Amino acid sequence: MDQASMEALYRTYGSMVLRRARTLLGDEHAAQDMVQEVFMKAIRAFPGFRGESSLTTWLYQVTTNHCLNAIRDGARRRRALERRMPAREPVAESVEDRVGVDELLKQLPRELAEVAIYYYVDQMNQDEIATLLGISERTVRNRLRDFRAAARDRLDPGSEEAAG
Amino acid sequence: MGAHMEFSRTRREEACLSDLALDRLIAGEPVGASAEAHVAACARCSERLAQFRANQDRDAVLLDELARRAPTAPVTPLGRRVWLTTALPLFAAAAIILLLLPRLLNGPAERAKGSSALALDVVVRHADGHQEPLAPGGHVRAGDAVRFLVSTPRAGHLVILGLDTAGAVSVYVSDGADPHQIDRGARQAMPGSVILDATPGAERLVALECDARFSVSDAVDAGRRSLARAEQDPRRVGALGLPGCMEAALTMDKSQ
Repeated sequence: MDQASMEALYRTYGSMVLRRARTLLGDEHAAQDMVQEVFMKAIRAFPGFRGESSLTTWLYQVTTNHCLNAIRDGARRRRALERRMPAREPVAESVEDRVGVDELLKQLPRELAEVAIYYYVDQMNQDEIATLLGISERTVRNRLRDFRAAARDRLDPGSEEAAG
Repeated sequence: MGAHMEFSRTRREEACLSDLALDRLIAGEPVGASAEAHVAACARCSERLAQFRANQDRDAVLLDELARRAPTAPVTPLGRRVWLTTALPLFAAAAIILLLLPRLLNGPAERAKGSSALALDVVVRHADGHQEPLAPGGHVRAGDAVRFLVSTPRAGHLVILGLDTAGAVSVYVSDGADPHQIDRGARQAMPGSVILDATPGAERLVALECDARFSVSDAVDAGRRSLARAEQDPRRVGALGLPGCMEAALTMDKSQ
């Protein structure tokens, strides 16, 4: 691949991968490493990519999986927590939806963490998540419910079941 | 996990687009006419789309640098930078990816029906006679000749447009005021070739195939609207969104 083509690939999809990695990892250097990791993974895995989803959708999944792996890696996690991401735009928050973060994604079952990322971070609806993951909407709903319950248990053990 | 991340929903309306849909729009993948119309009308979505595009511009230099480092210094998890001995074979594979990108960038909707989508391949003949496939964002020069190869799962009516930084919409393939009739088939060469003019900058090539006959001027108008929505930046142009039509697009970067 010539340099111009490589730059075109990075320019088209790199910002998207970088943005999500920054959000999920909270560390600029780790996010840049993740961009390289995701693209190398994508290139390596590409012969098996059958084009059944768009390249953007596919890269979302690769990024999510690799970031979750990284989050669960203790050393990288410690490094990420030592640094703070540059200022982020304020977001409107729904009290009933906000469940907090901290150690959640590390501790919770992967399938719950994955659905929570797509729902809360990427703002997907349940139908989109179901399509992306190849599961039913009912399963998505159940996982979100379980995520909220688990989150509430860990963040506020004395409270009642999480709201909707 | 960064301590800054919060689990909250900012998407207030069901019609609002997810980040994934916005990213697909930016990448030039079809997301549907209703989604595009929603973005145009929704303050939240248009603001978020503009923000993502601003991020893309802001990250461009960094990403160019990462792309330059990629073949020789890929990294592993934990930030350990190692040299991969497999870099060259991987990037040979990457070259194949880029050739296939136009096909891959078509959305899953058509595929879900059991057929592949419309695909546009472009071959460039440079002034020195060298010919090569055009990768997304590939560089061309004024005076280069381009030819179009179209793959389509069904017969229909086709135009190929060029949307440039000057705000112009050029018709590259049509039968005069009518679209070109095309049969089902892979890599069908369109008649003639186009000699590129001296307008520098990005140009978005859009192939539009519709089931029903349509007016080329309607397609040109749709192209102008789409270009206007993208603030005359062809790299930001999304799908034209004509109902009942398939689209495939590719952006090239032209210098003098």
